[in-house]
Amino acid sequence: MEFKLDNSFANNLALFRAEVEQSDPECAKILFDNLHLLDVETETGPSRAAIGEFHKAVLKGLDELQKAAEATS
Amino acid sequence: MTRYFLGSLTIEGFRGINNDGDPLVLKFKADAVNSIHAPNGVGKSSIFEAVHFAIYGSVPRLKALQDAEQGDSYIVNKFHPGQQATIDLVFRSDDGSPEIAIRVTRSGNGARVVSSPSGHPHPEDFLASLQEDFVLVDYGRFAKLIDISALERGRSFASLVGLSQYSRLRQAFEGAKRTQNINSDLGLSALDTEVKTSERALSAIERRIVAAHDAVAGAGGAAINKLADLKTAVTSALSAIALLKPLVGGGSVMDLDFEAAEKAVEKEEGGEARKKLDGLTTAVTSLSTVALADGDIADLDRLVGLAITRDEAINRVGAHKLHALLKDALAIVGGSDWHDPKRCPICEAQGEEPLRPKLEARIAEYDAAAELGAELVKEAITSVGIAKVRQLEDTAAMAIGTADRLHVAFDLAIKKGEVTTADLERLKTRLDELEKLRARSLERVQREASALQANLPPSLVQVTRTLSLAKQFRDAVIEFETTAPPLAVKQAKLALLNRWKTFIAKAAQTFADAETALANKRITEIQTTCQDLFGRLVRGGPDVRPTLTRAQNSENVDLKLADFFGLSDLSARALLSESYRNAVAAAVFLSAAMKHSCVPRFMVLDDVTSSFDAGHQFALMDALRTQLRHGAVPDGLQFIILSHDTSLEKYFDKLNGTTDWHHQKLQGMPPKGRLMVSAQEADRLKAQAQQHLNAGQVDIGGPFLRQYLEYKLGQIISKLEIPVPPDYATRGDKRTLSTYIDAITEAVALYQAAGRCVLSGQQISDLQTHHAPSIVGNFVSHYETGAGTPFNAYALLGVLQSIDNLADCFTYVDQASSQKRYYRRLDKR
Repeated sequence: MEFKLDNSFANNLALFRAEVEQSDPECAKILFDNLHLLDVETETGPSRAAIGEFHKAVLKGLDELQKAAEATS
Repeated sequence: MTRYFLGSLTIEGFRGINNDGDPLVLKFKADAVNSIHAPNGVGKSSIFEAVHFAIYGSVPRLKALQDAEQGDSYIVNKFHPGQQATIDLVFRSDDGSPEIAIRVTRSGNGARVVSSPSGHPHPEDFLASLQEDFVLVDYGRFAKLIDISALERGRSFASLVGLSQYSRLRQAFEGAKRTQNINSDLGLSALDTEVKTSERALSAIERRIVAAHDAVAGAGGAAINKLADLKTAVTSALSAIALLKPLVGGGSVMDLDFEAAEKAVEKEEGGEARKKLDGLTTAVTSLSTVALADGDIADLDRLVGLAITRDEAINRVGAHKLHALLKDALAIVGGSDWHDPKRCPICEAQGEEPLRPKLEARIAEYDAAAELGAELVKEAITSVGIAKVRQLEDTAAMAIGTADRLHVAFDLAIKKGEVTTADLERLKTRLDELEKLRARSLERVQREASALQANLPPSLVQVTRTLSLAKQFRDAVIEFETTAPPLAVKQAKLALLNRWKTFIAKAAQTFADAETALANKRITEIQTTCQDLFGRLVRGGPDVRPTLTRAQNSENVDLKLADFFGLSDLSARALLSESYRNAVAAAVFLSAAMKHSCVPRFMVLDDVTSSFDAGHQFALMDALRTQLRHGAVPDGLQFIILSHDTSLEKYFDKLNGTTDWHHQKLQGMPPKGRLMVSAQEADRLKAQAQQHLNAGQVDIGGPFLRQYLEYKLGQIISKLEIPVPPDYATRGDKRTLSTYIDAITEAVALYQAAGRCVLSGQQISDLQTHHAPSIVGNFVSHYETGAGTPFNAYALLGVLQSIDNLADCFTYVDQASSQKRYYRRLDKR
């Protein structure tokens, strides 16, 4: 996958999303549902606390995934 | 995408610009280089800060002040009667879309309000869309780009070429995929240990089930995944014993009343000996079950190793109180009220780098040591070696009194989180001793059981043994059925966490690879333009090729000289002088800005040529005008240059009025008085002077008169191309007026003597005998030297009239328009 020079950030992010969805659509959904928690407006990237908040949301997403799997099995 | 130029900027009540009721109005041309010149202290920086405040909502210089200095209270001009700053910006599109007007106000109490007189629905969002790194550039930004670290430069560069969002997300993914973060936030390593421990325990239960089944059913090769078959086989074996058959009935071994069965055997041929045999059989089984497994001692060795690593880490980082102190310092530096990231809050020393990363690194060492301690406690809780000590000491057949059980005190220590290396070493020794004791006890019990069996009827001995084994089978099956389902849930969760870990690591790598490739494309895209531009900006430029290179697998951007007078691959930072380094930065910034296709299509440059000599200054201005300006090249930008430089002022004056240059000069008396653009304000200067002088206010009207005189003399010099001494612009302010008047009168005298002066005889006479002497005598002499008669309002009103009369001496009436026009030169209409 390559980002295109003329694309907007949103369009390149869509390319990235399509790529990771091929690898694991359910994990990709969890990632993109909670991407806003990582994409914070600081020069140094998200703080450790922000990553912690992101992981809390990931845990919640994975729990729901597990419950859904148990319900169908 | 529609892009926008800055059409005009109107400021009142902001920083050094008071202009109560009469705002400073600056108009800019989209297809020209716009220059604004002002001497030091007149308010040029306030203009730059006003644009910054409008777009970003802050003034960097004030934000950097300590809280005690209350930087924000200096945003509104201290002398503005309404105590409100107002900034109006008008943006013109490059595709014919309607212009956008934005008003930003800031009141004395700190409230910022953004509105759009033109009716833009989301003015805040529009201003946010202008937040690109190239839009507002001052000298500091240029200087910083070269001198910062490769990583900081990489991120700064990413921001400059519109890749800041990619850079931020890349850093975010790095944090999200870090094993340490995943382990602590998602609990992956803890769950992994827990599952492994439970799996080991379940495996032991399975072995007990199989062993008991094989002994009762007299068959081998039992498989735990066919548990129902095993139950059937054990039930059949019990049913085959006549004494037990009625008790089993049609049920299963799982439902058998073992107490009743034991009583039946006792009744058949009872006594203490049978009971004792039963007890001995149980003891043999339990002692056999708790035998030392292969990994038990190794597990304790592993824990001792972890404890030693933990001890070393704690010894390395030092006192616990220092940890607390560093955390407090980080909280201060990270707080919104701490504005100098390089100043230490404890010793107030000023560093060269931001303090926060250093503090975080140091604290991370403490955290790592503390985390090792916490990991050790977790590992101790789930340790199979310690569990074996516990199991051996608690086994009744081992006959160890409660007071002698070492694990009791250790379990208490674990609860308090106090696991010492010495305790673990003691436990290891204890386990060895317990195993020896277990072996001796087993041998003894087996001996006693054999002796007892020899004295009992053989048939009942076998029945008793079979019944005991069947009970063990039942108990183990119950334990298995209780333990297996929750373990399966944990295993599923562990699999899910590992799936996420694999996913996020792969996603982060995919993003990083794509981001690196994109950044390299951007670098390639601007590299040639940057090198060409650098070659134009500096002397010797063509022999020096600055080259940006992006490191593999990182965001680092190195700045090297691919060609330095024949030498290659050398450090730009090490070799180039300050002005050359800044020229490289200018080339990088301008090349990058030209490649942008985002909303802003303008750059505001504030004193960016401070380190340049005149030659380099003119080269930069020439490059802006001919190579980068909108109007000169298709993708060109609108440039707005703020400068206090007197050499550049000449350059600006020379180009002013041409199609590709628009120059404005600021005059005024900030922070109390008004700040004005001289060309637009000449009539207002005169009106202000008249108004105050008519009211007898000499102190207020006098300075307006001086500005008006300076403007009119400058206009005559400029319009008629009157030669002036080379240093006329650099003489002290107090000498400016007489320098101007001398230049004008001497030039007229020269042209008159040569018989080539275009002025009429009357004009020359009026100039030399009336107006110039009147202005010098009644104003300039006293203003510049303090000699002569002090000013009075009446005399100054006369001077005001003489200024216009003097200017008229250099004009003629155009027949076509019946308007006064300046002569083109002293010898030409």
